[in-house]
Amino acid sequence: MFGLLNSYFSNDLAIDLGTANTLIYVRGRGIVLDEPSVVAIRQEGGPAGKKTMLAVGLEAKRMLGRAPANITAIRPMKDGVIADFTITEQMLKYFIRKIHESRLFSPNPRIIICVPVGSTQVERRAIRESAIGAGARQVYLIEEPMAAAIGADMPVAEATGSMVVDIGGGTTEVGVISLGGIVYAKSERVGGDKFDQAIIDYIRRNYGMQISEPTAELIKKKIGSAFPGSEVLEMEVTGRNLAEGLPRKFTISSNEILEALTEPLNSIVGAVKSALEQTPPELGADIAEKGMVLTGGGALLRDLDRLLVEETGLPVIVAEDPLTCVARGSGRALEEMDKLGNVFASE
Amino acid sequence: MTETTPVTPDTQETAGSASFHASSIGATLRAAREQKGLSVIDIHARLRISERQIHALETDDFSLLPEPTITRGFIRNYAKFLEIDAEPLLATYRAQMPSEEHKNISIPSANIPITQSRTTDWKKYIYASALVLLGAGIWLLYDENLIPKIPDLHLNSSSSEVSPGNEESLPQAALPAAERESAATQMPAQGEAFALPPEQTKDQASAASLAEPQAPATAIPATPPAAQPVPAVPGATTAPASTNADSTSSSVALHKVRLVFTEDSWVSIVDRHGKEIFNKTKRAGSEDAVEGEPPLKVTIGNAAGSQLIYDDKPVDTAPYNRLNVVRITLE
Repeated sequence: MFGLLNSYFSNDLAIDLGTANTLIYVRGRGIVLDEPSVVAIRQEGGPAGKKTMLAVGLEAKRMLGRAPANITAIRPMKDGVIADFTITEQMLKYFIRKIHESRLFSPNPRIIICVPVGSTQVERRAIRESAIGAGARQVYLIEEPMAAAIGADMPVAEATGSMVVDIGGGTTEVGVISLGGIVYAKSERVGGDKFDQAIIDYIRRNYGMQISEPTAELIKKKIGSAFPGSEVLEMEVTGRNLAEGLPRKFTISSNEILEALTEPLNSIVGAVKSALEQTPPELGADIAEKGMVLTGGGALLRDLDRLLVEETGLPVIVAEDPLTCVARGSGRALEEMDKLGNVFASE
Repeated sequence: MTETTPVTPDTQETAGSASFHASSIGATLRAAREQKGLSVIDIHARLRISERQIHALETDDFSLLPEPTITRGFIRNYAKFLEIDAEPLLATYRAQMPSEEHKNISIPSANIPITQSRTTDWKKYIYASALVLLGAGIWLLYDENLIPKIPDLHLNSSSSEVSPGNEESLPQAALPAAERESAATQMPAQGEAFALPPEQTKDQASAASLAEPQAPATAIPATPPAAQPVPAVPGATTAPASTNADSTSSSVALHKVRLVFTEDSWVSIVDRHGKEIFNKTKRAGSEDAVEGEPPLKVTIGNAAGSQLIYDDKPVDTAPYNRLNVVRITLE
């Protein structure tokens, strides 16, 4: 009775609580929120003073690296799991309120939330608790490769192997799925953040320049590539010269970025190869026929599919709209929640 | 679905003669490939799509290709490699294969439960609890109905001098007791207060002892002044008397009761103090004697097979016989 009332007043949600972005899918409405997982916090009156949330999401991301001493822009998720429990909970609460804006009653939804396949019990519990703290009535966990495969519209329930590689902000999830379950999954703590960090480190090492994370991200998006292409792209970047301590401009080419990204890319290739090694031969044959599907923001890195084709000798397809695959997949799981049982992960 | 119908004949047509339709997916791809001077093997080397699948793509034979989401990926990759715009091709493809949009994400299940051990376990528990309940019910019944009688029997056996024949005949002792019980319940219904004394003597042995003499006195004609026992007395003086000179020494004179049995019978005698001085089951042909302070309340089961002699005088028990059980108070 009470549950019925609750479900009337609050829509069920599927949340892709990512390291870089948080996406929320509302049952019957689709993806309604896509914001960076960033919270800006203002410290009032000295170090012992009250803390308040200044901004959440896109606004907070703009403050990253630009804030004064009393404001800190925090990314509460790290490597696909919660790094700051309280802030994550507050951020989720804020997002859930935001999509329920016009409601008279406080929302009390059922929530499906994604967890990396490699997350520990403690990390999963933390994610579950934070969702409950943010007002969830009931929390279901879904493993990211599963959600990604559903979102990429792969035949997850059929007796055929499907391989999905989800390269997110914090983690890379490789999963082989058949008959509605994960046959093999591997999670590598490499993702967009590691790419950015690799670019920062490379530039400091080779140019003696310090650049910020947002700049590194911009470089990655503009000229980053995973495989040597025919054309070489260049980009002008501003950083702080470490020797002089002054802002300086310099130009960097896509080949240099490729070199910078070698290490994180190698661990992704390693994860994919080890997944293929561990896959049962019958499913391996299916995968050889269909190839693997790339999802997540990392799939947008130029020629990443090409790199994996060359490394594995299998067809590689970038999913349509890879950034929202996990959220759409969890959304579909949400729509068919009452029919599904085995898709959800236990703690 | 309505959109598919105009397209389907087109699809069949293109499948049959792909080269004639410049707009078909396969023809476009093939034309672009040939324009670049690439062979199918070159494409395979680059995209790792099998040659068979490339041929299928170029002939629009989508039945040989994997599910739509993968095939769309193949078309995208192929078009990207050939540096042509994939969007029109994908639009054509979607128009041809619209119905297969969403894959089922839950496994169709036959839903046949495997319930071998589970159900038997449940049954076991149900049977066990039913058994326990049944046992508890029986115990409660037993507790209510039978327990009051058992102390009665125990009292009887403990107060009597244990004779060798006494223990083995305990079951028989229960029979008169039961009779006595049923008789006692009948009596109040007949308006007689006679039932009360034996009940009281049983249950409240000492407490009621003072009140007892009066209770029978009002209800029964067999009181000392009444003539009832007296006419019986002169009937026979034949019984052999066992003397009891000692009894006279006590404050109240002891009176002797003798019993002669011609059939198996049961006797209980309660004295003035409410103490049961005699309680035995007797075999046919035996006899017994007991002395006690009057008034003595004598109860004899199977009264027809017994003779009562009080102070060497035979007593006519017939008026006191109810259901073959005699209850008489001897003063």
